[in-house]
Amino acid sequence: MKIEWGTDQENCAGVSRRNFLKVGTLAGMGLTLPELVRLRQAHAAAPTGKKPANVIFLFLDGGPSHFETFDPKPDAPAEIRGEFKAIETNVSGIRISEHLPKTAKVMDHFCILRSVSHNDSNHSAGNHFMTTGHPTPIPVGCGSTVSYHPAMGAFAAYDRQTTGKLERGLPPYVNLGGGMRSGGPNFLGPAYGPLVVGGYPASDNFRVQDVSLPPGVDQARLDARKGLLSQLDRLQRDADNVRDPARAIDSYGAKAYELITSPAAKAAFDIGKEDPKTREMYGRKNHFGQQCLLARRLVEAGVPWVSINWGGWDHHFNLFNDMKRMLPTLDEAYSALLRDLKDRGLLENTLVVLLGEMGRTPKINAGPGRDHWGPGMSIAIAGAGVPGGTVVGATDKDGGYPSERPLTPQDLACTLFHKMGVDYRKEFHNELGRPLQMVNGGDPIRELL
Amino acid sequence: MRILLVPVVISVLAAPVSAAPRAAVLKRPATLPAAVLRSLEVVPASVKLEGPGAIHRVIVTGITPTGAIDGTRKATYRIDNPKVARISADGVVTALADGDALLEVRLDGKSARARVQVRNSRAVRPVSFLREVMPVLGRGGCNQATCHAKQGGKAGFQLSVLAFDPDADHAALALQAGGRRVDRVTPENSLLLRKATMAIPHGGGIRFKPGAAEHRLLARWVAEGARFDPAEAALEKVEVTPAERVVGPSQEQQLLVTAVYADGSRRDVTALTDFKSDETAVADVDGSGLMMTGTLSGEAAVMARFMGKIAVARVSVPPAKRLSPDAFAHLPRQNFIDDLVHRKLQQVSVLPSEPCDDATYLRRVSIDLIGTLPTAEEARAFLEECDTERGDSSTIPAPKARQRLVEALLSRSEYADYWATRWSNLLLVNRDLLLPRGAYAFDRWLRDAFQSNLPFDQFARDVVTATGETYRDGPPNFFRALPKPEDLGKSVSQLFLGVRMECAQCHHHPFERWSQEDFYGFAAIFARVKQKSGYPEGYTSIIYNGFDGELKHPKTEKTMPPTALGGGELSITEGEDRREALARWLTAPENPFFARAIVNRVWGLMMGRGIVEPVDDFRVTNPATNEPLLDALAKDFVEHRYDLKHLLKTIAASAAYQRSSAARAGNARDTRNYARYFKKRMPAEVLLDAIGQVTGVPENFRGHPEGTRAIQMWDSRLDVDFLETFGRPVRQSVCECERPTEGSVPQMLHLMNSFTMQERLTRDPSLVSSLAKSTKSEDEIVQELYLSALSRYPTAEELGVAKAAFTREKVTRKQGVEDVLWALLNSAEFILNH
Repeated sequence: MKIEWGTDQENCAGVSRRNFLKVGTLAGMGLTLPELVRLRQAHAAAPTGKKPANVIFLFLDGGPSHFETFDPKPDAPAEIRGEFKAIETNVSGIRISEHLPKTAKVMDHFCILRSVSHNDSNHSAGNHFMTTGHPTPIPVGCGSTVSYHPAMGAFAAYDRQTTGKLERGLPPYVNLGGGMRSGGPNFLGPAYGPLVVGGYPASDNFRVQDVSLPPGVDQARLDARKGLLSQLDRLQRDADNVRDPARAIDSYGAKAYELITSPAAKAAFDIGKEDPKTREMYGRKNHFGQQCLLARRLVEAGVPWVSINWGGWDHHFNLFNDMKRMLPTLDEAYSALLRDLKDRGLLENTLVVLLGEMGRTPKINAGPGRDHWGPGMSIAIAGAGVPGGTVVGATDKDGGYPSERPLTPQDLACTLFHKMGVDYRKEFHNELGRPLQMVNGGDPIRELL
Repeated sequence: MRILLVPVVISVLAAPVSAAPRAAVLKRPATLPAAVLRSLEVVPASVKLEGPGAIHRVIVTGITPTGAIDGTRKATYRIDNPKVARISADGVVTALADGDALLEVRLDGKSARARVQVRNSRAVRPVSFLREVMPVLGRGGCNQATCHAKQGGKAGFQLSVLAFDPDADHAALALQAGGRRVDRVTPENSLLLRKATMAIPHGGGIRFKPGAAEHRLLARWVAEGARFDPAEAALEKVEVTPAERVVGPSQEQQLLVTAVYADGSRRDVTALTDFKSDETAVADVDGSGLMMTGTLSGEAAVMARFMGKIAVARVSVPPAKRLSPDAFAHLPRQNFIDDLVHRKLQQVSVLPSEPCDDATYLRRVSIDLIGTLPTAEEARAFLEECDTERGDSSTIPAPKARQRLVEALLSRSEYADYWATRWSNLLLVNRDLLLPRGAYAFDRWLRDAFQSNLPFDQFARDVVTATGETYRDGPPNFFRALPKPEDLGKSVSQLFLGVRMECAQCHHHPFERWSQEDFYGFAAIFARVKQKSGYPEGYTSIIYNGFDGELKHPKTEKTMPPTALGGGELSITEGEDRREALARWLTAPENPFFARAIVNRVWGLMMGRGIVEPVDDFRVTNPATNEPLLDALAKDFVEHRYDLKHLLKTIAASAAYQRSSAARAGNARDTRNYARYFKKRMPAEVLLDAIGQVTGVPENFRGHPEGTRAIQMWDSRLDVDFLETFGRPVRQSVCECERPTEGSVPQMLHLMNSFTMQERLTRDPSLVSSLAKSTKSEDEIVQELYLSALSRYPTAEELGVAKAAFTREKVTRKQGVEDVLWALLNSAEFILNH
């Protein structure tokens, strides 16, 4: 296991699959006045009385095909339809890919957004847009890792930390499965960056790196060492200078010690304590599933934002075979997560978002595969008051463009922040003094409020 | 409808209610300090007023024995011919009738004079779009990046950022939106005026009141036909007076901003200027250009911006109780650096810290010059050498031993390893971009370059003019990593000129002088760099000069002539590689950027803060903290033929570099004048090597021979947990900012609690195991640990504390050693270079 600050991740190296899709739409018509007023008020303050949501952000890096997951086009010609069939879900009229059967049985827990779109059909830019809610100001290449704006998770960390709403010893923003390409804190500074947890929670000896005491050291010995350190570390600290690097070491050290010794954080990370039946439900050998379980444990303990990064959804080639291999893993994990959250009453204040940086092209290429496609994609969203068993928006008959209720990544970002009780119209200034908004434009998606 | 209005009302309340210039936070002082004046000065010496109602302000300065004070608002004024002009109590002269007059200024028994000339006071001329209309919109904030200068504009109306494109702005106002924005028949009905005065709802709120001077001016302009004469002389620059001044706490200083036009005419635009202080607690400025200092001492830069042009006034506020010049008379001085640093310290009245002791110097300079910690033996030998030189073991520095140390360090092979690592970060030596063999070739070239101390002008020349094969030659890889002229332009500019131009690629930089013309002109130098595949096909690349290829300005579509930054076209001979001309310009001794950029970068790495910081971000609005020092370093560097080792030696020898990092009374807040050594975290590679060396359990790197240190690795993409945790550059851009220098929780988790650290402490063989097994006394063991980790002997007190760790209950001798070393490796004294 390792904890680290963001590393990038590879792709454009094809694998994958995913499928399915939908039918009825919930809304998509004009706004009524009361709705408009409600939206405007939502800007000023987040929902009161309710517990603000924590977020589990499931990111399928590479851009999973919406055709093979949540937006199947069974009536389209074969070169668009693909090999997979669509199946009924437990909500009448909504159909998704045949390779997501378990997910189909929890359709009543989540909503499919079928009309979020953007024009950044490459990994870096799309990833940046979907992770931060902010488009890259300039075109960026396929392989680069860019940060022009803090990730939504970093803003969440900033909000919870600066408002004192975070429990002692808990990290405010966690990345499982390695760092996200654009998951960094940018101008908010490293204090709001993600705690990146790598490694394989499905393995029996999974431990979050450096949080558990190493062999031969118990807490008494750690405390003795700390005592020794405090007596020996006499380098002068600058009382007047908050940016004194020596003082930074003290504060990071204190936080590290809290993580090591805090029962809350340790317990949350200790997936071995989980009921074996629950672990089994997520798939005991299912790496992504165990990450989902770990994410549930973290939000349960009070961590406001957990992102899971799962790469390999860039299916230019071998689309159907890869999807047949990968979708059952996703299916098992995602359905288990929703069921588990629901059973524990956690779904009410946990927002689960399943997305990638873009969708795929309607036409199947010779690979066979589908290429990058920002204008069409599907996002599954559940919890925190999101009405389950619904579909918002639709793509056209070929699955290329939104045909109903077009939505933007900014709309999604506003929705997430709104559910978290974060004032997303707050203005920040970057290091150059340039004014920046958390989200530039957009509105919360009213069907989800 | 009533309901719908709610949000509108909210937005109005949230918007600024008036376009009136911002009031300063600081209050004007009740009284100005009494001072004995030696003389009085008035600026300008000749006040020229052109046109009806023209105004110009004067600045009155009283010269005192120790400096200067502002007398602009305290002086009495008299104009000998009151028909020609009048002057307000705060020094603004207004034209009345054509003629000449004499202005007499008196203050505290001294007097000064200025001529006043009024011309064309009766001339009737149309409102000038460039000189009058645009400044009003600018002052109203209309063309800020958050309002109508936002990309895509606001509410369908787009202005250029801070008026850099007057043609487009004129079109937007007078022609677009079906001409609704101006109504030449009934000017008051112009959308422009109705919006700005909130006669109809305006998202930006009220910008000025109906009937205000701005309103009248715009209405007149519309009535006159909303014209723009493109022949009007363009604004060339703005100047601010005084540009630099020491002002006591709680005092004031009037600023004068003068616009200089292409036809040579000058105009007082103070009242139309937007002022901003970067440190309002030190000095703030109001809309009239009156700057007020606070009670805190420090420095501030006041930016004066008019029509997109910027000038900066720098102000230092010394403490209320200034130190006597004697306090600075006997500071240790080693070379010219110290004269200039001390001059600045005296100006701000801050005393530097004491010199650091020899052990601290040894550790510091070893890390800074060769990225390598001294071993215990090296520390022992050096400290002994110092004692011998001094004749005792006090903490007075031993200058000769220090000098010999620097010479010795610079001749070690780690010197090349460390600086090549630094430069491979900046030059994108990244196997993902270059393939492993390309990265390896470039890495080798860099190590050779530093090993042979290649003069830096030659180094830059070799990089920017590189041709050849990426698998075989080093520098061509830079062009493989950056195949586009635009990327090369901005990367070369940031690397070798210290100028960040990326904003200018898409738009005029709102805070800078660089335009898209500048950007594409510079990038055009690289328009003919070509590459083709070498053999094996698809792997190695051949970089060559292609003799054709141009770069076009994306908006004007004009083919850009290759242009030096801030200067005219490059002199390129027929058929010559444009980059050769670039290299000539770059490395000419008179190049205004090159030497300053590299000395600042090196100074910043050594001293913990650049004279310009960030080190690769030179711009008007980011002024150097010590301009004369930067100039002197650059001059010395050029005189010594761009010799990097000479530069490092000069810095390492200075008293400024040799100060303690501990603050002394009054200098703890200094973060820019080098009153002490600024602590910094060891870079990831250096820290990893240091831990490996101290514990005797070095890291092994896959694919590299055993014993390879982190600063010797060629492969920056090799997955090494430690380096990821402590942050190493990803080598995707040439920005120095890619290297994280901050600490983090995971870093501390790693040092405190990781299995690998515990393994380094417990493994056999290791430093701990060999000490534990040895017959050494506890005192000797602790000494050895201190010398290894901190390059110094423990104090008696530390010895006592450490030894107590050996005798804790149920603790073996080995565990005791482990715990003491754990504590040392987790201390700020170890993690930081201090």
